[in-house]
Amino acid sequence: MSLKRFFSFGRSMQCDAVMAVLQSYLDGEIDVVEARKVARHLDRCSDCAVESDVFASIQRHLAGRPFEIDPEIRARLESFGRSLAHDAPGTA
Amino acid sequence: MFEQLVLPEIDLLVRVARSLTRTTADAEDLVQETLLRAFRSIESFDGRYPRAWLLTILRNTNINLGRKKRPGLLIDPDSTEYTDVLSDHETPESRHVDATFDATIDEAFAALSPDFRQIVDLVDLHGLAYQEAADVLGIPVGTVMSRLHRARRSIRNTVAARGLDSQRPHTSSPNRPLPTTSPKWTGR
Repeated sequence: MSLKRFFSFGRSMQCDAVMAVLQSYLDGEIDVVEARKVARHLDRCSDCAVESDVFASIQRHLAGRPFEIDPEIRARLESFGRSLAHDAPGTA
Repeated sequence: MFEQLVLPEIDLLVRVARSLTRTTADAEDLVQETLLRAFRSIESFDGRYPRAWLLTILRNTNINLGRKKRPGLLIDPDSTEYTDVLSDHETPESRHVDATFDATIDEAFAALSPDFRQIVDLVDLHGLAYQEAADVLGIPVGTVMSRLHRARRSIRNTVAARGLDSQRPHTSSPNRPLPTTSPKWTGR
């Protein structure tokens, strides 16, 4: 195996490992030690950094879709919850 | 303890209930019944991980109420391939890249199977951790990860098929911060 191929092989394996955990990393679902390894790799590897940016953009858009809770429903449920706490025997 | 632990989570309960039910009214009924059951069992709750505790009550309440699943949720997503939206549509060149990117995501999301959309809603839209989504759906956390990652990968593939991935602004920097300071899910 040539030196160039050796380093290329090593790099691609590292990229594969990062890609395997990238979404969990972006979700904050991997431990801090592993997250630092991923962050270091993304600083060095532009291909993976672009992939990370694309997934992050997708997740930002999915998270930013409008979802409004009807204020009347919220008020009714909060009122119901408070009535449970306040009207229960022994809580007056 | 009920007021301190449960009432601040009403918004979360409504959001998740809306993902589990067919109508807003069903979601409100489900949350009301969940609040009642949480109140009745608050004395036996140790105060740890109130969100996980509430979401489990919500899930069990939903099962006990015998609600029909949302239309389309009866399909087993793990045995049914979701539909990739591929680039057979023309994108007008005059449209802004970001608008096209966002519209493509919306379209690809809409093409996912209902169970995949549900997972994306729970995690991305409503902010649940993987374990919390697993609790509320009664499925292993590995299944949550698998469905969520496949769903986003499908969307990403659609973006790539339309050549939009290479047009996104590249935000990589030498001091790239970690995406979050701590994991959303801290374990139990």
